[in-house]
Amino acid sequence: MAMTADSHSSHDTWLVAQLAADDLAGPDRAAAERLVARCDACAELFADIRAIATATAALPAPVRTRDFRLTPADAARLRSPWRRWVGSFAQPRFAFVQPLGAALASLGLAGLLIGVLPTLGISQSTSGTAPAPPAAARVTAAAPTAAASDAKTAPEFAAPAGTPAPVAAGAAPSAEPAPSSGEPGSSSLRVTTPSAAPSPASGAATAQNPSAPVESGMEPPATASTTIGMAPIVTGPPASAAADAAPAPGGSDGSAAAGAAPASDRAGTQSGPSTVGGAPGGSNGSAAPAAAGSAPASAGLGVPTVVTPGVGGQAVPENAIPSSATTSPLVLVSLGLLLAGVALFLVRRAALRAMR
Amino acid sequence: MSDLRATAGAPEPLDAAPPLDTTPSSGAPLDAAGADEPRAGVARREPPDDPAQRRDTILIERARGGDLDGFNQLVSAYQDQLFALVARMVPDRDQASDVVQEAFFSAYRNLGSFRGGSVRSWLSRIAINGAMDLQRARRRRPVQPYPELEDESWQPPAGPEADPEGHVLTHERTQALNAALARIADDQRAAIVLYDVEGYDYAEIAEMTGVSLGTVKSRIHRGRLALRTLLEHRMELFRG
Repeated sequence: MAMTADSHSSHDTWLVAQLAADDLAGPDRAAAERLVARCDACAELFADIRAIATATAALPAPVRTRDFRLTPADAARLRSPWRRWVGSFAQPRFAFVQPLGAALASLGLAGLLIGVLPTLGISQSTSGTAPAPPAAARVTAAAPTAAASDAKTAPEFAAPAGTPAPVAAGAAPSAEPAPSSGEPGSSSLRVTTPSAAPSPASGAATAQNPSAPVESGMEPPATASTTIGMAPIVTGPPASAAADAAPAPGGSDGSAAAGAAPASDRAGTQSGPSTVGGAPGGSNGSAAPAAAGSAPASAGLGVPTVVTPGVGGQAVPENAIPSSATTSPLVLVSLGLLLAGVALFLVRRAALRAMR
Repeated sequence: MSDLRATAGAPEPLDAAPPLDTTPSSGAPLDAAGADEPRAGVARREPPDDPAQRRDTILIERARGGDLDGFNQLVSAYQDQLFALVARMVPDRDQASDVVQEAFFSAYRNLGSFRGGSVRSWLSRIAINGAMDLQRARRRRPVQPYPELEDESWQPPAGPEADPEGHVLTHERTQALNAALARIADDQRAAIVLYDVEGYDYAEIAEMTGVSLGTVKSRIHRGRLALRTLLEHRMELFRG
């Protein structure tokens, strides 16, 4: 009795396939044989599976198109212990190594950037045309030496707000422009003078500008701090003078005047809280080339570029190697990640090349 | 290198083993070359009864001793079979060739890991693993589906006695079946090729593919059912 197509849909085709492969025994086999005997569709399926299996076995063999014998060069390459070791990484189960290496290297690079970049003071575009964030200027002015307290510098710092004011970092004995001072990006400058003589003007600046914050906790007593824009101007320790200036948005550049007494003097000449050119669009920011008037102040990460007097009075960037950054755990871990990632990437790449 | 590559062409029949020089590269007869003491890490085995297996064992020993010619005799004996096997699993011919070449490279590198048994199965296992890896890589980064095997080399050779109608029918059937094989799951295709085409039994396939016996059966049955579904409207090619 043939079963209908409707009833075939409920039949176990898996059982029929097993029967076609002769893989059944016992009651399962009997059940499958009953299905094939009573259901036309099951019988057709059974015959079709067998026909397909027969046709598959009779498939013509594909003809190879090249000889796979090994050459002596192949043999030498494959027997090299180094290549065998490296070649083991070319196996597909190590396919994850390359993306893993790239990911680790990326993480390490990002960590390095996060850890090192702020200390380098490398920041946004420092070109004169680029808009700057709210100006931040920090000046650490120190007591000048005899040369630093040169009266020639005083008028420059007394320039009215809003006019480009050359920075008087050169007032210090290390008055030569710093190597980086003439380049955009020298967002700040600290000039260390060889003399540790205290500046009488520093105290005067504090006296003249009582509203200026004084970092008395961090700095020697002769330090006065005043704010240019968003950041304070700090009159630094007696032996150093630093300027850190950033241009203000709206085109007014922050003015940084580094110099021992002059900075204090200038602070003294500013009225009120000594806010100089920091407000966005403000007009009191003075486009001052930082460090001896050669570098336009730029917005940075607020990290001063440190310049120390070198041989012959040549200013040398102090933070060319940021010692604090290289020793921080973040930088070390990032460096490790970067190296490990690059190593993994290169080993896998070399392995793949070795296998070719 | 080019002289060896240039010899590709007429494949040698599988059963026609290349002339066998049983003298190892050192010049000493193989049985005398420390045969009384088993090699480190290699169990002492009785010589196989199968002549082909005995030949393979000798060639493997020679290759282990650094005799490249011994290994190349193995390559000559099995390269057609391996290519046919891989080409059915990886229908792209260039990729199949690469897989086979890589399989022989891998076999040469890992001669020390051969623990006896059938060299044919050992080489097939390496080639199958390579083909499976390639298919997995293709699944991860799909580029193009496999060509539906329209390569002319899939056509069986037509002898002068073959009637044109039969030849066309055979060609159509081969094309349809290859196209269907290219569309089923990779593991099912591998199992069907190994079982129906290569003639391995369930246990050998299970060992080669690293799955259980039941899984092998399941893959074969499901693969056949899938083929039948794909070929349902062309079954007249197979029923005649």
